[in-house]
Amino acid sequence: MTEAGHRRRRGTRSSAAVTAATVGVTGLTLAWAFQSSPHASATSPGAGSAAASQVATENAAIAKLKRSIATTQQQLAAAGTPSGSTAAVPGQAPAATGVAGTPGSAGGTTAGGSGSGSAGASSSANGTSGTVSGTQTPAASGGTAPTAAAAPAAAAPAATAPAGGSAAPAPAPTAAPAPTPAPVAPPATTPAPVAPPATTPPATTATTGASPAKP
Amino acid sequence: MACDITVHALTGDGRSAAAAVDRALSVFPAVDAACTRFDPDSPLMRVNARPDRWHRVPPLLFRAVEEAHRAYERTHGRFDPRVLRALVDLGYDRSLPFAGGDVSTPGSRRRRPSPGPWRPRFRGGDRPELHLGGEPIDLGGIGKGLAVRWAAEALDGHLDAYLVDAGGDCACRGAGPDGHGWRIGVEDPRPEPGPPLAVIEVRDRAVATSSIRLRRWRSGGTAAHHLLDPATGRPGGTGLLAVTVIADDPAEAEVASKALFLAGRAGVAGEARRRNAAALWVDTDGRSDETSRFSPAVIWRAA
Repeated sequence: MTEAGHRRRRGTRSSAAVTAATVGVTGLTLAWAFQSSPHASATSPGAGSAAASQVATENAAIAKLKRSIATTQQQLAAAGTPSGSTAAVPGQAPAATGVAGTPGSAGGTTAGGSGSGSAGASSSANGTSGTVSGTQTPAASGGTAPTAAAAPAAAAPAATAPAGGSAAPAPAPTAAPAPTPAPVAPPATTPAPVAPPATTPPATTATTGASPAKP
Repeated sequence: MACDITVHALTGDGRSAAAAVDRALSVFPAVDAACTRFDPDSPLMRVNARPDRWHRVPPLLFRAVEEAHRAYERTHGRFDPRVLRALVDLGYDRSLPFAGGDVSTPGSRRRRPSPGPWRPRFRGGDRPELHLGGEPIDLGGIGKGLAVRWAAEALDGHLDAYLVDAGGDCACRGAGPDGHGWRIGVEDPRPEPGPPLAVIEVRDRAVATSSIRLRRWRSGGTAAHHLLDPATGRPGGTGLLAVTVIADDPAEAEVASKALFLAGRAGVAGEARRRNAAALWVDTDGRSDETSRFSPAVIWRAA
């Protein structure tokens, strides 16, 4: 299969982004590189403590979110709003979807679609590190979740945005107006952020195409 | 396998990973040594020199020919490694300097279709023997896919996530660097490519592309490329520049991309549907299309 000659030479080693070794065979370049990432190392033998730490952090965030939900429910009850009409209240939907989610799995893909509203908090609470604090803090403190959750949606490719992104604005029309405005959870009025069409491709690890012929 | 080979490994244990990666990388020169057609002394070329008799062969070559025959049967002959003589007729009998462009060979315009059904014979065991059935073969494309498969097998159980990339034939396992999957660019196959046509995100899948962007030349004054139609012995895939396939296995992806390419612009969509393939293709007008099974993997497209 090698098109070049078959003179072989000893490998040379060099360092690149993280750790790379290049073993050269004339006409055939072999290289490998290690990369470290929290997601990957969470499942590797030597990274149990990091994973545990992350889980603990996120569990704390979820607990905080649940307390916020409970507070909101109490306030809504006091205001006379039926419990079944609270989907548009930030902090309410997240709890429902957050409990059902699988930590670290679906969260990765749904985070991109969590462009606005309470759905964003649920995606993040499912274990997508880095977005947990951004989305939950507003909800827990009574702020509006949409803007906090918009960041991942803007960065996400359009292909993944619709699933989560469409979920957020949907509840708004069904929310029954409370006789007395809920003090900590105003209905979301900000339009759902729409991810702008990305003109530059996301970073890739490899490219598939014509196999470049090596001299 | 005149290409770069890269293993990206995500792990928290660099030392054990390094050993596994070393084993994986060692697969490539071994497959190359056994299966190259550019070394007259390689086991493949010794068999090719007398394809009408039995030969004792290295296990790697034995397995590669077995896999090639399975692919031949699976594709009903659209993938057929017996195109070697036709390739040689076109002047691709040696390493050609494609990177420099403007390659010309004397070539010929004769048609050399594959001669009837391919029926190689195999005697397995500790000292495997092989009978090609009378025609020499080229294991270039499938050899690369098999090498990626076997390298990936060397990593399984030692790494949680990795990507093996041999010139665009990729095997991906586990989550990529950001935890979502491995992101792979699909090259724009037009002569002067810019950004990728699309970016896909895959995990636990393989990806391969058959493209004529680089391996094209003029043979006897006529445009030629390396993807030959076994039915004619001439360059196939009329109207197409490239086909990319996502499959479970790198050799399977490699074979499927070639088989779909050879269906040409007129037949690629139907063939992809029949195979239930996850495929994207680009025609000579620069238009791309894909199957519904490919679309979910796309996370970005060129405008």
